[in-house]
Amino acid sequence: MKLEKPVVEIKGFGGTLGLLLDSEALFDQVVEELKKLLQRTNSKGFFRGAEIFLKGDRHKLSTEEFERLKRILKQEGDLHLKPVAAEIAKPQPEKEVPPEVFPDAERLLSPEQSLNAEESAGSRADVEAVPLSNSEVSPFHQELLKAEQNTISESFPSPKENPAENPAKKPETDDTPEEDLFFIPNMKTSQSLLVRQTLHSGQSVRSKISVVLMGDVNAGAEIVSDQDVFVLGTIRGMVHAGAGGNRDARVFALRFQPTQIRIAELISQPSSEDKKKAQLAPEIAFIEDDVIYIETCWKLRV
Amino acid sequence: MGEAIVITSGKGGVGKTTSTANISVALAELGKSVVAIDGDIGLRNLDIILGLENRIVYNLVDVVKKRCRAKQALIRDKKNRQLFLLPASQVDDKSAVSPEEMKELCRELKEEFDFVLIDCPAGIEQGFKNALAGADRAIVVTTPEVSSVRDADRVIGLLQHHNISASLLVNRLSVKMVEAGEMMSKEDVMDILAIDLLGLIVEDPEIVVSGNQGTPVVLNEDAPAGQAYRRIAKRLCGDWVEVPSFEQKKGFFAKIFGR
Repeated sequence: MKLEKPVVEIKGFGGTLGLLLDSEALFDQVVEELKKLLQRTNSKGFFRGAEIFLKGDRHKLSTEEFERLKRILKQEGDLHLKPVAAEIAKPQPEKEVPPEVFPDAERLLSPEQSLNAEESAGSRADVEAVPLSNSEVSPFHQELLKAEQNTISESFPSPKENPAENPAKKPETDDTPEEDLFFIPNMKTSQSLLVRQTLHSGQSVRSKISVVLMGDVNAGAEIVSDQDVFVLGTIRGMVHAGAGGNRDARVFALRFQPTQIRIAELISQPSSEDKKKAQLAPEIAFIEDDVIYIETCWKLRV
Repeated sequence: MGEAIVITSGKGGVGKTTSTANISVALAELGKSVVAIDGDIGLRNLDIILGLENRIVYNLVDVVKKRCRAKQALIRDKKNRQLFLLPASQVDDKSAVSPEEMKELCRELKEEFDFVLIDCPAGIEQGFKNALAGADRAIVVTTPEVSSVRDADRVIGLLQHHNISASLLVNRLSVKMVEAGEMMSKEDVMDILAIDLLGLIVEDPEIVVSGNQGTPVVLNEDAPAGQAYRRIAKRLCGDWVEVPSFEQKKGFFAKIFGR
């Protein structure tokens, strides 16, 4: 849920990781929350030396503060913090690049360029330096941006549900940062882990966030997630959604032939007849009246 | 510098040793220098299939423990001068060798030979880890049975952890049973395992006969299994021969009206 901004967030942006900081929060609070976040997600084994970019301008950082965050990310999460890409400061000649490719472009920067960006990172705080300045955005996205800015500043409904992830939250006050360009106002979102492989017997994916798997879950393999699980393939093994007790969690798959489906504390064990009858249509599993139902779904009802 | 290939399956009795023997012979027939290592210490079989049982003097454990040089332990094949066998010890067990020692041995042999084929024991314990240690790639053998495919799937997962690319060999497929819907088809197996197909070998009684006689089926020009192994060897050499479809010819009306 994106209704209230947490102090520290790590998010995926089209193939790279971004670090989002609440501009209202004190720096000490940011440090504390970041440490907590990294420890909670046990991210050291997960990120393994990935690069993370400081996104947006939610926080004014001095050079020392930036270095401190960099150290924490390195130690606790094995992440390499990079400032926002240098090409934002220098306009690019090719304007028609769709915004999604920018994170990749950052990686192509030469070492000197990233060094420059690092030096200027301390003072970078004004809106102009934000990624995707309007000149680089297609007209369609500009519209979107405009629409979003209008609505968000007007109304903010009370949060319906918020994962216990961010205890030290503050009421949402700051402007919508531009990196949220593709967010419709009040859009219901959650973070997810995209896995692009077939899970073979003996392999298991465990995650606190939703899991999207491009491939099959073979018999003997398992996915355990505290949130939803989407399998763009066949489930032959075990999938456990809402493992932390979230009964609203769902399991979606193009084909269900599971050994077991678990949601929250309930277990469903399809009979072999069920397996034979397995639909060729996508199906969704959910809890209703303390029973797990698996239904053909042509439309995801959420 | 040659290539080390491990032939593995997880489940026993699916045709690892037979495949190792036949692929080795087929590769040698193509003019490659080949050494086949029997990784099944304590339960050696590869020597029997190749018909070299009574020539064994030194074995894999002797080489690894430096009781002899690798050259001394290698047994040259009776028919093909390019093919060598490194037999397993029958008196030791799997713990007699460590993965590091196997790695070193494979590295040494790869300098001399085009192909180093390692016959992996069944299971996923010490012997499996040893066989994997020196390998550059893997051939996963499976029969079209649920239990065999399940074990192959587990092995594919383990190979992925070790960063070894795997290709699939479907063994003992009965065309008749597939057509009657009583056996998984090649497509069903590939669908589950999600790796590339290296070869398909149909059920062939010649395999048993030739195994008992110690003359690998590859040497039999007429046997379908022999032909299949020759195609696999060509594919390993980078010459991609199509996997023929074994469907029986359908009548005219069947073709029009479908199955």
